[in-house]
Amino acid sequence: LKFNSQGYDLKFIQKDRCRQSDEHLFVYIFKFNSPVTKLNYIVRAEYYDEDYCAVKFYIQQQSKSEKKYNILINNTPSDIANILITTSKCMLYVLKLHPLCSFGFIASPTYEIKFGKRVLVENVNNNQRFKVYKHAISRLFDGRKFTEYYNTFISSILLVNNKNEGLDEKRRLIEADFSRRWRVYPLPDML
Amino acid sequence: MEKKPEMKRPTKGERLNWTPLSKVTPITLTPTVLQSEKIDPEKYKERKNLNPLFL
Repeated sequence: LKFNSQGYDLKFIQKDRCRQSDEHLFVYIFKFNSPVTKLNYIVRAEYYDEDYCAVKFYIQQQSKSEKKYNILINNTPSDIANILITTSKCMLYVLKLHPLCSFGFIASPTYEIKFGKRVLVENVNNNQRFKVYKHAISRLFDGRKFTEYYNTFISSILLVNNKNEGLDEKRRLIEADFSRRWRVYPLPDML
Repeated sequence: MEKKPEMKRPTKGERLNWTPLSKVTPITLTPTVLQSEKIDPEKYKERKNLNPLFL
């Protein structure tokens, strides 16, 4: 996979208040279109009070699905590099407003849909999205802006902003904040 | 000539031994479970042809 392209135009939609139970402070919402997959994508950068953002994206037509982060659309040809580059552009937008902001991602396990029913679930640890995201980050960042932390067990990635003092302490604070908000994973609405 | 019985190709989930949804047990997110590992700084030096957009 090559990650040298410019991606697509990421359109800022709005800054919205928290409408969910996980109590982020606010969310920046973006949108873009892939001319290859012919789909619109929604990107959410949810900002939390420990000065970090959880970056999420999904296909707009799946907006109302509780499994929108788990569904895999097998588009041919794939446009995953451009999609991940464009999604990552939201980080540049957030960094202009919050220069010390760190970023976190959880690679959702894929749900295998069979006869319209979800029956099989990919393992949480080291899942396929985690492997792709890890590869993408290694093609986009060189360690100068962010220090990378990986958790293979729950397939999560943390990019701690190097402008913070005490990077390991910052990582610990973010993880502590995370465990207070979500005590279990997968979340009940994913099951 | 005897006709071979039709073999149904297993789904991707079956091939990769994924878990049935009903058997998924949520993981309790303790600080130990959540603890991430810092990447080896030497790995950054191995990276080449990075996207200039994010540098």
